[in-house]
Amino acid sequence: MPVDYTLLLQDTLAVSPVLLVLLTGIVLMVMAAQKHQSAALPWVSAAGYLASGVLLNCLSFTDSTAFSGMVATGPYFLTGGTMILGLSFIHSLLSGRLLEKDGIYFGEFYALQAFAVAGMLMMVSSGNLIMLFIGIETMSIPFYAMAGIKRKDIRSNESAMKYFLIGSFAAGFLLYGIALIYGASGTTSLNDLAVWIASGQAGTLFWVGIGLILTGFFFKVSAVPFHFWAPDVYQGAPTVSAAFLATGGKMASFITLAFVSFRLFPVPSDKWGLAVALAAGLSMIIGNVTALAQNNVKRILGYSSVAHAGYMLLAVISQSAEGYQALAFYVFVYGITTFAAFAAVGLLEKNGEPVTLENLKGLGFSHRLEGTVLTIALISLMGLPPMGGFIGKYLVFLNAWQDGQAGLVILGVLTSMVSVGYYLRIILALYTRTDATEVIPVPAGGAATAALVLAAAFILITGIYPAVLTGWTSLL
Amino acid sequence: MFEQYLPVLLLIVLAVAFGAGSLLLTGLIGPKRPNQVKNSAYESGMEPVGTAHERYSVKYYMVAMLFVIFDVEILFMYPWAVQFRMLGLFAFIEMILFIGLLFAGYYYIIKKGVLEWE
Repeated sequence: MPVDYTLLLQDTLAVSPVLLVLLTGIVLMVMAAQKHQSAALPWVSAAGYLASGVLLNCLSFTDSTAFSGMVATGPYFLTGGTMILGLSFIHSLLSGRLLEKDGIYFGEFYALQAFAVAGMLMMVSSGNLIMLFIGIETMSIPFYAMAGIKRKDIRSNESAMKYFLIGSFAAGFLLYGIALIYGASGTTSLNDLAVWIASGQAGTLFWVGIGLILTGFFFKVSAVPFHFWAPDVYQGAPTVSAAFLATGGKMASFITLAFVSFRLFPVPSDKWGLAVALAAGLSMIIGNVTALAQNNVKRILGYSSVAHAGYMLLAVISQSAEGYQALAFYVFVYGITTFAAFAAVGLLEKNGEPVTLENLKGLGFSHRLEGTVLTIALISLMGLPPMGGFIGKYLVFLNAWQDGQAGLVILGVLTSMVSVGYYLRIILALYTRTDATEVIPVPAGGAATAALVLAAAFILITGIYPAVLTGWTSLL
Repeated sequence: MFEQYLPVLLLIVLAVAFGAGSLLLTGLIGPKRPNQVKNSAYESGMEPVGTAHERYSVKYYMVAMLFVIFDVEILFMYPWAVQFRMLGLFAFIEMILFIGLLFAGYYYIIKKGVLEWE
């Protein structure tokens, strides 16, 4: 059997960033087996993500495929992969500190994270629905374990169990959708499907399949009405895991959704747009209004992630290049911002106690860095200048407005105002003086400080000088 | 467009008919001579003792996972070994890579002390 070595080499090179992350994961696993908590683990994973990110940016990003169309290498792989690897890099700088603080002595955390990152990279580079499914599962299964990594903690167990059940349910929807689409069209390749849709043969069976796939995606991005798991999982999971589940998973899912939409519907489809618009509107209302009634900061961030899923879906409705660019900008800034918020909350957290607004009182004075970063992140989540969140929201709303979604844009602006209410409550709690003698949690260490400063700088720079990102998302 | 699914429907109908039919027919025409042993639950020929809703040591699951590693390995190695000459060097290198990956998992599981059974 002759093997085309040139082709094989090309294909392997195209997916080399994914392979590098997988290799990092295996090295981390072997290291974790030798010694439970080695100080080298976070550095090895940070180096792996950095190297993979550099490699990804060195590869050419023309729109092409590898491995007979299973892998799509192009601007979506570049953009999505870079933001995922950037987030993972910052996260691995911080995770050592948070794991130690939470009393989690499992070196396997880093290996699980690396495998999840490999899954995310597979998602954003999938050229075939089957690859997409494998990517989503490779990401999700380590996520379940990360949510439950605090083994003796009953909340962590509950969070992992809920996440696992809901996640498997979503995977079932997705897979059934893929099966129906295959039944209708006879192919699972995104390129072939686009040709088939353009030929006008799409019937009921196909649209039911698309509906099921969208349901699977809505589960993964926690859009209403499939959002119930998000606040529970983020609240129960150790903060170090929640900081990654809530951000990395969202980045990968949204970029993949944008890519599927971009590939399948070069001519905008009303049906697809209507389903997305419905979920977007509901998510904005329910996420923001429910968050007002919460007292636990991690739950607030959970509902805020539901609300932001709504804003991000807004950018998919138009199914235009500008929409996908706005989405990429938004999801990058959102991911880093939410990471910064979770990181600061994790460092301010008192071990074994829930992070309620009451428990945060006055900590902004004793912990200046964490307080400042959390404030910057929350202002960015509100969507106020000069933070990156403002530019993201502006781009998304602008795109939806130009697409004629005036009602949804007005709803988005109104719900953004509602969101100021609950974000401000956190800031207010941070800077309320109390007389109570606080047991002050451990201050941040060197690498953790660097992670916080990096994230805050990113939020500010993208807000003041958005061209650093827009120049790069305009590749899409 | 649904006509092409007719064979699948036919297969489902046949499968259900065969399953239900066999059960029904044995019940109707088979001889019935029940005794105590026949009525007890089948447990690979062992005498069933106690309830099935017991908690097992987590070690059983670990051993089961270890088994899966070797199971998957043999699943791929067998067809490869049969066609070894035809597949040549390329497949050999691929198989080495595959075994290497499984070995990393095996090393991990051994280091974790899964086979230490005190």
